[in-house]
This record gives sequence, C-alpha cells and structure tokens, in this order.
Amino acid sequence: MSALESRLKDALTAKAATTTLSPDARDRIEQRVGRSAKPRASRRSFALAAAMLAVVGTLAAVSTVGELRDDPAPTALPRISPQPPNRDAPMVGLRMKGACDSLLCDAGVVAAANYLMPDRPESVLLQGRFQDVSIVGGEYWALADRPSQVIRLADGKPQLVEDFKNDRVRSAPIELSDGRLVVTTSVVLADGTTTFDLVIHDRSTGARQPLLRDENRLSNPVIGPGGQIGVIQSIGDDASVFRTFTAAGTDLAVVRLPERRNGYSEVRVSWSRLGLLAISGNLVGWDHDASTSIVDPVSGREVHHIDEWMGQAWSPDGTALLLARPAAKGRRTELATATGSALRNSSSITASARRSTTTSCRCFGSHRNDDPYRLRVRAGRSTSALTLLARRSTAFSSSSIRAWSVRICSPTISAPPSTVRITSAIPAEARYGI
Amino acid sequence: MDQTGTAEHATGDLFSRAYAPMVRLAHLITGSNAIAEELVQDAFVAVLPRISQLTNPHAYLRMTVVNRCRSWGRRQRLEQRQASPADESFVDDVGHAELVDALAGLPTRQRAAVVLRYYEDLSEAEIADALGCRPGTVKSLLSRGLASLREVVER
Repeated sequence: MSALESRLKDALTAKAATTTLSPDARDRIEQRVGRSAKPRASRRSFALAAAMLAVVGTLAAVSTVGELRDDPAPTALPRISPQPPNRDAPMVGLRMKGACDSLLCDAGVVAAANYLMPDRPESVLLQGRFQDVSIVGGEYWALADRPSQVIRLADGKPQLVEDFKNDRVRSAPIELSDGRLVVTTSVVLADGTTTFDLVIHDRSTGARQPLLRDENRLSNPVIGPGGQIGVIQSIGDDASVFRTFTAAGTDLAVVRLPERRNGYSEVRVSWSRLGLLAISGNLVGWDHDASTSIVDPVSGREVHHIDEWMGQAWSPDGTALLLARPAAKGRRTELATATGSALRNSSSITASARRSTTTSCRCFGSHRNDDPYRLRVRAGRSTSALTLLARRSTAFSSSSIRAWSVRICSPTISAPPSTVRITSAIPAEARYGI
Repeated sequence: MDQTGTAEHATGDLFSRAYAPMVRLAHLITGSNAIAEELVQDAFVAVLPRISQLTNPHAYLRMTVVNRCRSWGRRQRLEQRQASPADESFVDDVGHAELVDALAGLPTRQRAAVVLRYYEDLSEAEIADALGCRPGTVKSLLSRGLASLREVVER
C-alpha cells in the first residue's frame, strides 16, 4: 500500500470517527416501516384502479407512457441497415467562422454538438453562455440558455433567428431542409403541471406543427440519415425511448433504449450516416462519469457500450466515433476514436498538455457548471470543434489533430481563467477496455 | 420462532450490525453527518420490509445506501447550480483536511469507490456490486480517484 493509500485510510478512519448517531434512530426507522406498511393495501387498490384507467386510456389510442411500455417496438421505421463501422475515417468537425462579438462573447459555458465536416481555413475565438449549439448547413446555431433564443452565427456575427421566449427550449434545435426548426420545449400549464412538446416551427409564419406532447421529458431532437426526426423521451427515472417521425409528422417508431441503471444526464445524441445512434451522457448521480451507448434505432438494441467515454461526433461516413473523457491526471481531456467492427478498435488522439500557469485554479468543491472560463482555439488552416465535457472544454482539429484543453476555474478564485494548449497529438492505442 | 419473530430478529440484527457502519459510510460519501443519518434511515425503511427475501441483506443495504448517497449527490449538484453552497463543510478534521477536502472534490462515483475500498476494505468485485458496474470500471474509478488525490496532495 502506497503512502497516499495509507494516509487516505487514516483520513477516512479519522473522518468516520467523527460520525455521531441519533439515539432514537431505531425507533424512528421502525415507526416509519410501520407507517409505510399500512397504506400498502390501499396503494395497491389505487394502483389497480390506475391500471384500469390506463387500459382505457390506451384503448383511446393516445400516446402515453403506458402504451409505450406495453408495446415498446412497433417498428414501422424504414430499415436503415445500420452497419458497424469498419474503417478509419476523418472525424467530423465543427466549422468555426471567425470571432464572435460581444453578444455571444460574455464568459460562460459553451457546449457544442452535432458537428459538420469542416473544410474552411478559419480560426475562432468563441466564448459565450449557451446551453447547447447545433450545427446546420455550414453555419452553426447557438441556443442561448436565457432567454431561449436561437441564434445563427454567420461569419462570426450573431443573428437572432427565433426567440422562444414563452417556451423553455431544452435542447439545441435542428433545422429541416426546408428551413423549419425542430424544437423540444417545456411549457408550464395553468394548473402548474409541465408538458413537453416536440414541434416543427416555421420561422416565416410562426406556425407550429406539433409532433408530440407528453408529460415526460422530450430532448435531443436529431435528424436521421433518411431525414427522419428523432427525439428521446424519458419514461421514468432510468428508462427512455427513442421516437421517430417523418418531417410530415407521421409517427414512425418507438423503441426502448437500453436502460442504464442510473440514467443519463447531459445527454448527447448523434445519428450516423450508417444509421447508428451514439447516445452519451453522464451517469446520473455520478457527476461526470460518462458513458456511451451505440444503439440500433430500429430495434433499440445496444450494439456496443463504451464506459467512461462520451461520444462526441461521428465521422461523415459514419464509420468512426470521436470519444472524449476527462483525463485521469490533471484537468485535461483525453480524446480517442473508436472504429472497426462494433467500434471496438480505439486510437487515442490525446496529446500531452502543459500545465496551467495559474496554479490557484481549483475546479472542484465549489465548482459549478456555469463557472466562467475562457476558451481560445487557434486551428490554423484547419477547423475545430468545441465541446463541454465534464466541465472541461475540448477543441480538436480534424486535419492536423490538435487538441486544446481548458482549465475551468472556480468563481471564487480571482485569478483570470487560464488557457492550456495541448500540443500535437500522438496516435496510440487507447488503454480503456471495451 | 414464528415468521414474525424471525423477521423481527433479522431486523434487529441488521440494525445493530449495520446501522452505525452505514452512517459512517454515508458520512464519508456525502460529507454530512446529518444527511448520512437521514439517508441510512431511508435505506433501512426501504430494505427492512423485504429483509426475509434477501440473501445478503447487508450487501443489499450497502448498495441501497450508496445509491441514496448518489441520488443525494445529484440533488446537491442541481441545487448548487441554482446557488447556495453546501450547508456543512466536508472539512471538519483539521489533521486530514487537505486529503478529505480533495476527496470531496472527486466525482461522487469515484468518491464512493475510494471510500468503499479504503474505508470499508471491500474488494473490487464487492465494490462493483455496490456501485452496479463492472470490476474493470471499479479499477479505473479507483485509479483515477487516487490520481486526482495524489495530484492535489503533491501540489
């Protein structure tokens, strides 16, 4: 046992020794057990009544969770033939267009998702406070978290596209080929309950075509390789389904996603050209412990699971998946690609990083997701992607793999946020087991 | 002994054997004595009615406690996003303050793995059971947790 481990043992023992116990704990537990035992029968009756009502509701052919659970896979979705990737491919990147201006440049959290293949020699200085960013047609759409504005960044200039000020937009919108936006929103009704909507929003007329309204959370709209609209619908603490629709609003399919014991938060979804979904998230309750499921959206079957890595983006041909995770040492991010049959081959593209010179930065304890930081990306002639992963930011360049990592500072620290540049990457075998 | 008597005996036995260790465990994971007691009592309330069906009530109770600590951690995170810092500082032991403070900074799952390993002395397989993951993941959690702690301590 190392010195650190011995010290740790001592520290834990000392800390545990400070624990005090209530003298009446047993009485309180027994009282509560007694109380909770009694109403059980009436609860059962209530549950039975509720179940009967649910059956009636299902017969009324309303899209409800009960219906989904009874019939999890009415698969009318055209088969996309998902195939396991089998060769290396260039990674998908995010096109960056110059520096953003002050509207978007107030320090804050930046998150980016849904990458495009970059091909323009641009550099970027992007700072801002967004809940999510989605990329459409060579530009990117930024969704500010408050108020709910959809902003198009064109040539580094933000343009307000839509303001969902009366809705709470939960995930980055996606844009259909005809320019309409697909948005998930939550609406608080007069009785105080919240409903979640998946709607197609026509910017020119303001008209909304509802695709789904449900009391369960809807999030992460995504467009499939065949133009389908997909969305994740929670159906409980640990369970969710993936629903697909046509742009005309036809309900195509509902498939139950593989259940992770603790559920996900901060979910990312990416639909590859080959038809596979990469669904990543932090395991709920475990802070930033990432996990990625590769799922066949037709059957809901999990093709592969990658622990401790967040799937960030598919390559344009759908054969490779970019993965990222916080590095074990230091406040850096490791990057890797997963390729080959069922994505089992992995290559690390992580580079070594110089430590921040601002040693007073500490990222844990009082750290919160909205802590300010500064992210500077200089990609030379290549374009880059940004993402927020586990409170760290990563940028990568698709042509000459370079990565940057940013140390996120606690707001209580007065030292300026620091930027750490990671030098060029050295491909190597990743050491994680999949 | 009739069935009721057996259940009562098992309940009493589980309480006397497990209550204090579980509160200590939850205290180390959450950093709060009061929260720890609350969570462990909740866990007992959930487990006791089923005790006769459990092959290993102690392990099941531990898993329940760890899960409740996890849920509490999740709520804390959400609340911290809203505003206020935690009521009780994790650091109340001056002699080991730095290490204990560093432990508090670990992601909840890493922290739980470290506590289960170095306080409870559980094997990787047992930790995997408690955390609901694979032994390989436990290895990784411990390695990453120790690396982070080492970095802080050696800073």
